Amino acid sequence: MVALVALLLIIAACLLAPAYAQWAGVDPFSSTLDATIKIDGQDVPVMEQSTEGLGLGYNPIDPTWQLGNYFLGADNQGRDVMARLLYGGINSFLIAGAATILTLAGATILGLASGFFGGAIDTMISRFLDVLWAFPVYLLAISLSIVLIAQGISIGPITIESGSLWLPIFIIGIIYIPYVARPIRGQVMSLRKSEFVMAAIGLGAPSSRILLREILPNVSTTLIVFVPLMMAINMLTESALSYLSIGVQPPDASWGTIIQDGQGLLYTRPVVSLAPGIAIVLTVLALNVLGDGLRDALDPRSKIKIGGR
Amino acid sequence: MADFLYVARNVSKHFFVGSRFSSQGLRTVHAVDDVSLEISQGETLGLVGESGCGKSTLGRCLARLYDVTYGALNFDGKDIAGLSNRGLRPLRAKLQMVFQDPSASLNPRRRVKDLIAEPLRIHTRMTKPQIAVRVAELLNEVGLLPDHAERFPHEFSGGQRQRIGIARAIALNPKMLILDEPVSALDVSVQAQIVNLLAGLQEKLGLTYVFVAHDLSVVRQVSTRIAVMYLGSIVEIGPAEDIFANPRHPYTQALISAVPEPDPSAKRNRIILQGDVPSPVNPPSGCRFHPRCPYAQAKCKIERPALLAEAKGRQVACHFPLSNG
Repeated sequence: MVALVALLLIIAACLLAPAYAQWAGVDPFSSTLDATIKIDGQDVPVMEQSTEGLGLGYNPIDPTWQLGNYFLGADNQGRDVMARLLYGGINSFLIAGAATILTLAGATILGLASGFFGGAIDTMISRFLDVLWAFPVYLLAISLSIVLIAQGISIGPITIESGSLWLPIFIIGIIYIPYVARPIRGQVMSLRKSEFVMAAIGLGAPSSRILLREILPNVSTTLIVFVPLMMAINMLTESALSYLSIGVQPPDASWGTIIQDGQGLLYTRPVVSLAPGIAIVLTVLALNVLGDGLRDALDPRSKIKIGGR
Repeated sequence: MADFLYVARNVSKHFFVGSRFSSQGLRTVHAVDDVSLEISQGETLGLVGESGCGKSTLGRCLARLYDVTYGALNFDGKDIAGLSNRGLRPLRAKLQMVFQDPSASLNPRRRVKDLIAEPLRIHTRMTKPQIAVRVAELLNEVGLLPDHAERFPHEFSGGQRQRIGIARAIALNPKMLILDEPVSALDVSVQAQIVNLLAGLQEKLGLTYVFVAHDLSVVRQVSTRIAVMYLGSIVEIGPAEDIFANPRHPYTQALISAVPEPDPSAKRNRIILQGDVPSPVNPPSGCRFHPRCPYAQAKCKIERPALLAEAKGRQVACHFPLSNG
């Protein structure tokens, strides 16, 4: 429950991003190197001249810790990090969520078909998944991204332009299909031999009806448990890809791109990288705890409950 | 043929185990081996034998849940052995099955009303209110309450679950039910209730039963005729009381002698068979029973006895049937 509340708070905060940007009067997507802000009645430039140590040249200002006034400071383009963090959160959640839906839909269809029909269909689908599985996840994601990010992709009527958010969604959604399809296939195979499916055959039910009415409801708990877990994994993958500049494209933000923005400022302004990092950790942690809780709640046979939830 | 509801001729069911690429190769399990039987309208045929003798497999072959490897099945004047699942659909309405374990044969994620309505939705064009009325009727028929319809199977006891399974099986007014050990997963007191329920339904709806069981006392109570199976084959068929009074096959005799006697002072001659049931992967030559038969002779090892008709509607597969004694 704590996890769910934390997650909802994070999502709510992210959804408030446009309101926050308007209220703070900042544009998080264009560089404002010569902007000035008022701190304690004094005009302070967003980029301040540095005189000593490692931060030679211009440094973005430190966190002011005043909400709506460069709370987390500025990045090397003079943009409000807090506003970008919230906007980035929207993208991170959007990509993770949409990729999760794509993964689960693809995995359910493939898992049901291969587990239920068996034989040649099973062999074809399973070997295809094995090929996907044979690639290390990030290597596959990076290869796909590098190829696709440049010119986009068009399959039949669907065209995804380069730079679109759908591209990382598509890539992340595809690469995790085998990880979900495998357990679904196994479950369907065992359900297929169960006595109530036999009974349905004995009643004369057609295969489509058996799949949708008898087997799918019994797989649905597995799918529900997978939702938060896949969200967490997808969010991490998205951050990694964006950090490597092959996910969300600038000036758009996601938590991964903000970490990258802050990379050059690690010595002087570590907050720029740390803030999105902490946001990712908290969100993924909340999602994982939620996933565990869901599994315990939905599986009546699991005797061991992790206490307190 | 016309006077029988169901005729099975030379039915065999083989399963294949192992892998073509293993050292032992692909092995054949002769689960049901050359079985022939006839079932008349309105009777109860008890199918008995010890675990692994193929009685459940035969039951499922008769219900065409399994494809038969060889043989012909004729139900209600139609050949059903070669039909596909699609072709079988109209026949499923008349030939239903009740399973041994009601907690496994009822989908745990569906409500009772949906479970019982399933055959109606598949086979009839009844409207929602019509289905609701019929479901209430069926619940009443099997001794459950109307408000049980909204519950899930796990909220019921074993006996009640079996009642749900029976309600589902009779929903379409079938001619014949194949009962695969319908009471062996239940407590003895509940067994009696279910047996009585089945007997009542048979009388009311004019059902024909094939009653698969390993419990001889239950089979004796419910059956008009009994078929005794050993290692995939039927060794003896006959009217129930006749078989108990006068077993002709040595295996039947041993089986009946193992039935517990309620009177502790009664004299019992238990026949203890030597050895285990041979593997159906590699059944013995000749008579399947000869390695364990106390009366086996040379001929039994070579020649397989056919199931031959005798007086009073009895059939026995033995070269040297036991005489009255």
